[in-house]
Amino acid sequence: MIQFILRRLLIALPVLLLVSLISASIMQLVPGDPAAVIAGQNASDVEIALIREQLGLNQSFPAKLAAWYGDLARGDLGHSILLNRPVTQAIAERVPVTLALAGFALLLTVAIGLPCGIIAAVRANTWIDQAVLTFALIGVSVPNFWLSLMLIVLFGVMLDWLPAGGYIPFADDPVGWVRCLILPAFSLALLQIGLLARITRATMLEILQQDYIRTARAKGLSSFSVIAKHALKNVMVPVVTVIGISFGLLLSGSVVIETVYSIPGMGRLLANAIFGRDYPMIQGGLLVTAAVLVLLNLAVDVLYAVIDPRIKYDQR
Amino acid sequence: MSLCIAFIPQHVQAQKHSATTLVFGQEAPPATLDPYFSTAIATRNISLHIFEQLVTRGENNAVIPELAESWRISPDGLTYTFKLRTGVKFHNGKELTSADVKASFERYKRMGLARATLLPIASMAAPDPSTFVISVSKPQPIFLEELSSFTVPIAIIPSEQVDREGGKLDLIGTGPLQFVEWVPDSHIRLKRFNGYKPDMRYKGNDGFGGQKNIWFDMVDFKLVKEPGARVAGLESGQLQIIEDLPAESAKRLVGNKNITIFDQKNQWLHGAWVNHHRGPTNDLRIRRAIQLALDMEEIMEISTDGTYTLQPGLQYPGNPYYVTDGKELYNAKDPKKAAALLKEAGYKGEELVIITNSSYQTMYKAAQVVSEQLKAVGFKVRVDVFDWATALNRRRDKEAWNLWFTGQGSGPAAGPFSALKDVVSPQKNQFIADPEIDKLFTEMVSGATFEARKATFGKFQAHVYDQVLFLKFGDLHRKQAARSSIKGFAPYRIPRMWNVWVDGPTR
Repeated sequence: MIQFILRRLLIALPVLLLVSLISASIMQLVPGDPAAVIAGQNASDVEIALIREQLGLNQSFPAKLAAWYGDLARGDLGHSILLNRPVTQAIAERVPVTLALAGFALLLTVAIGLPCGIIAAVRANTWIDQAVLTFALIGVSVPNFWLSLMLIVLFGVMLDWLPAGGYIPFADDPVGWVRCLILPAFSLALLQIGLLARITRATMLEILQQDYIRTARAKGLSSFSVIAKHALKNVMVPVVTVIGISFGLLLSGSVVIETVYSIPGMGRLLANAIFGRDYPMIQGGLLVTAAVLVLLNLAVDVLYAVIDPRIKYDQR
Repeated sequence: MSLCIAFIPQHVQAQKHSATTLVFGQEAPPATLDPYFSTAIATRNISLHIFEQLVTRGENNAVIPELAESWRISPDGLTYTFKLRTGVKFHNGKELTSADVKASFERYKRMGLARATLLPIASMAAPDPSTFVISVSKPQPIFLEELSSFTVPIAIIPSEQVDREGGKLDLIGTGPLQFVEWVPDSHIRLKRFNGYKPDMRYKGNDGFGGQKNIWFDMVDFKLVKEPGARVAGLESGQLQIIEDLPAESAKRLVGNKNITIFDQKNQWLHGAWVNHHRGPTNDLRIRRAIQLALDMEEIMEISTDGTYTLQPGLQYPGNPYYVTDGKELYNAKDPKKAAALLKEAGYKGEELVIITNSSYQTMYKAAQVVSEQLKAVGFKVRVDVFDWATALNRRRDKEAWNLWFTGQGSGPAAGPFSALKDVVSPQKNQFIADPEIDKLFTEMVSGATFEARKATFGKFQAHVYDQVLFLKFGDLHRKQAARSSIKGFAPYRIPRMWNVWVDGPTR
């Protein structure tokens, strides 16, 4: 197992290098420059040229790329043009926010999606099953932009139960932190809940047809025992796959949710960097996101081996 | 200059003071808070609370003193002597002296975006801590107006900052609010500067200056990009004041007793640059045809949802330099004549390219309407929509567009010299130099009297219409809103957080 993990980590390095090269090259093809964005709407060419000079933006692309890789070797992701702070600092400020939001959303996804899927399978073809399927369909179909605004109007304005947006750090006010994350986490999670419920239901239905389930029932085990002890473990492999993918999507940040709820997360950081042509931030942000996804995939693969003893990675 | 001593009774002051935080919902995040390094509204909204100028603009755009106590111009017009107010402190406790003013001007001259303003300066001196002297090489009739401009304000910074590069400034000023923190995409927090001495020469607000009392302990500029969320924040009380209230929300909130709606007039001149290099707009007759084909009311109604004024001036009504020369060519609305002109010019269906952007909905919608109106008289039109950065980039390519949609905001507000200076060489947004407009501009800025400058501006404006250097659609207004318990808020080109207090519950 250790060898497997080390091998995967080693392969990750060229992958990440390739990701950064591709992203840098693509951004070169996109017209626009950060100086014009900083200068503002009515700035003249002279004013923009001044900013370019000040910010050292007149280097050639190969020179800039070489400098960036040089800095990277020393662990320095560069300096954000728009935010005027080190890229590592900007990302470090956002990571806890995105982690909190993604974690919360994942919790909701598993806590709601998994039981719903199981119940739907166990009570297949009843009204409970239909209800869960319909709920899942709504979750997958509703645009989360619209949903977010509706939730803000309902809970933020009409009922005044929850804040209408903004982010309160945990250190400032733990209760406020939870309250400000409920609506965005739910908006983010709804799609994943729907997906997880459907996958869980489909996998569970398949498993419930298996011989060993019939045997367990024949032995006289309670329904709960059959499902919780025997069926659930076998559902987990495809479910862990979906959860892994979901978490990856949630971690890379949702620009839409973060914009609507004014949450300073990774999604908005990257989106604003792209719109503002903040090249160091784009490069750094994409690299970190790619690294996180690589590690997440590795974790999921390791988890498979833990859940299913038949899966062995070390080939002799 | 009238000196009014205002006396605010102690008990009234105590009543107004509130330990709560005033929360303002701002739409756009600032790219920088360095006042020398941006022309953006988002930057100015905040930096003009932290910093102050030597002279600034009052409510009706006149030049008013701020950090200057008084000034004297020598009879030959070559020397400006400023006396500074005494006892003014920076946020770090340092007392303001002429050395700081001189350093600020030096930094601005070196890297300020509008450093051309200070080109006429031959030398600067700080003979004593409360005197600052500027010597110019030639008499500059509009020098004070330029110094007081707010597009890229000459904010006074501590002398230690003189060598700071653009965007790397420590945010230490003399303004009534002090910088606390900036969490990008979330908020910018300022706190009351307890060492601030309001300028008692004024009774209250006066444009960017005046007597600035801060009645809150903290002021938060929350960055809420999504209009729906901004309105929801206002309705729930989380935000006490917001900018950019969408027109539909304004209609819905009219009856709401908890919310007061304000008109923020003259956000910008809604219009488009015209390319004189690329066909078919290289032909004056075709440009005139465009001018005749447009129905400005339709364009403005659709793109602004009803918050606009139709008027031909390149200044806003009420500005001292307001003129209406060229008005016969504004909103002439004659599609038949336009079609005839097109035929006369021998238009063979060359594609007219319009560049607009997806970042400003008003510009996007205006482009759609203009495109249809032009097609109706026989033009072949293509609309290219880009994100803001790409659109800005494309503007510099003279083969890429015929009309480029824009909003000219603080330029016209600051005065006629900045209203449309981008048509003057060397900038010439239209790509072909217009010697007549260059001559008129030089004449205007060197006009010895106000009347002379205004008359020349009239000719300048008439020429812009005559040669179609710019297509003006109308004056775009915005709406702002506040909780009704917020008193004293009066919208201006920046949302002024001074002299604002809360009376009653904000939620």
